[in-house]
Amino acid sequence: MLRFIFCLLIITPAAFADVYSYKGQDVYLQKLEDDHYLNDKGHVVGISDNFFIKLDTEIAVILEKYDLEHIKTYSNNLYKVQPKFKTDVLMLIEKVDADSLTQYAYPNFIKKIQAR
Amino acid sequence: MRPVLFCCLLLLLGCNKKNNLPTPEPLYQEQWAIHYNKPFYDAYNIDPNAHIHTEGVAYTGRGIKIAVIDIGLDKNHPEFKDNIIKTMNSADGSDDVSCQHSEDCYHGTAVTGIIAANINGYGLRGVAPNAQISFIKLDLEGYAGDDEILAAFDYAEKLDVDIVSNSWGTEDVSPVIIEKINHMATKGRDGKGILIVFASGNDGKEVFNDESMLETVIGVGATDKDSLRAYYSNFGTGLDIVAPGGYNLGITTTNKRDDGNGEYISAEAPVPFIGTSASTPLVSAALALLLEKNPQLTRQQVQQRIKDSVDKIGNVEYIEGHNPYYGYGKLNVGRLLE
Repeated sequence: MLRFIFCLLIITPAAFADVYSYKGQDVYLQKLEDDHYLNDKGHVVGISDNFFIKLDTEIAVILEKYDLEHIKTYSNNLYKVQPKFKTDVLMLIEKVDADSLTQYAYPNFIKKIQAR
Repeated sequence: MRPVLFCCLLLLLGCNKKNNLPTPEPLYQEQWAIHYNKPFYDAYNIDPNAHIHTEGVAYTGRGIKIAVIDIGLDKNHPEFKDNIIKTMNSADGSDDVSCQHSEDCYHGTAVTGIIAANINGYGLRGVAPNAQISFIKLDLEGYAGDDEILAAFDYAEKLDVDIVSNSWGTEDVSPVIIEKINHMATKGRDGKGILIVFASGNDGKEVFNDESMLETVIGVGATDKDSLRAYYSNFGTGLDIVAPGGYNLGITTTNKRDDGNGEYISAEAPVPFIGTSASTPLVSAALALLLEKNPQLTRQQVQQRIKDSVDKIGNVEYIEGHNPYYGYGKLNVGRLLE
């Protein structure tokens, strides 16, 4: 019985976790009831439908390849983009992150911020 | 008789100018965090070394650009309105940095006053009263996207500021933001590195993945009137320095004028301005004085100057000069500028 409970404790978080890959490493997010996620550091975060990509190449290639819309350019070849069509944004980020044309892709997390 | 009095007044004014003495500010005597005033210190039983030793310092931050990222600003406050060179709202890119409908709306005005309140014969004096301020509004109430944080830093970088003062944090800094901060702290200021200062927070706990703990950031904790770590001050291996943040006695500063509580927040106010939020602008302003004296210092050289000039307070062990509760020690402006 104890072994069963132990297995449940191990399996349960993984079963309800989303995962995405950042620079080849898996990052776990546990989905909560209200469309928020619990990240691997124990913080509640939201995930925007847009995300960041860093490139060595022209952005147009990536925009076309993944049906993305360019939202904003930051310094140092960093861009904010948004899928043109409704999609699982974490899965898309994982794909773009793994593309050799990008340095990385990363979610636009919405997080708690506090005056101190 | 009147001409004689007038001449005496002129003489006094002349002496003041010649000796570069500050015009007496009515609230200066209660600014315990920046200097020693015996009657005030005795009245509140303040440790004689609780302050940051600004007496006799001739620098005022002239020519140094500081970006303050905070919730909102009373940009026409008479204490610093002439110091404000730019304002930007990170959410929409407009220049509107006003703040309404939040009990924290005073916060950016309080932070800015500690840095830049002018020497003008009324109110208080800031540590760097001639510094130029670019104020960047970031919504600090609730949740914010990494894109808003990134936009705030991007704007500060484009304005070519020397220092970014941040009395806020997330405890959950993303790689995208870390990369941005590291880039600015390395490549900014023509390769000398922008000085990025962050408050460690007020939860009395150890923090890890926080902006204030990054190697390229100057992380700031708080001390109280006993010149000890304030009980609420967050700590960690990345903490660099502590400075007065107060506890029972707050840090005198400017207030958002339309909130019905006056132009200033007194040290003795029923709801004083306390926290690492108050300590951080003291450090940012002190660094503005240092850059005014020596504009060629790199970020790494400034970090070394901090290590070499702080007061080792707290009767604690500093291992290789560092203690997680006190960083490398408490800010001493006089020694920083030696």
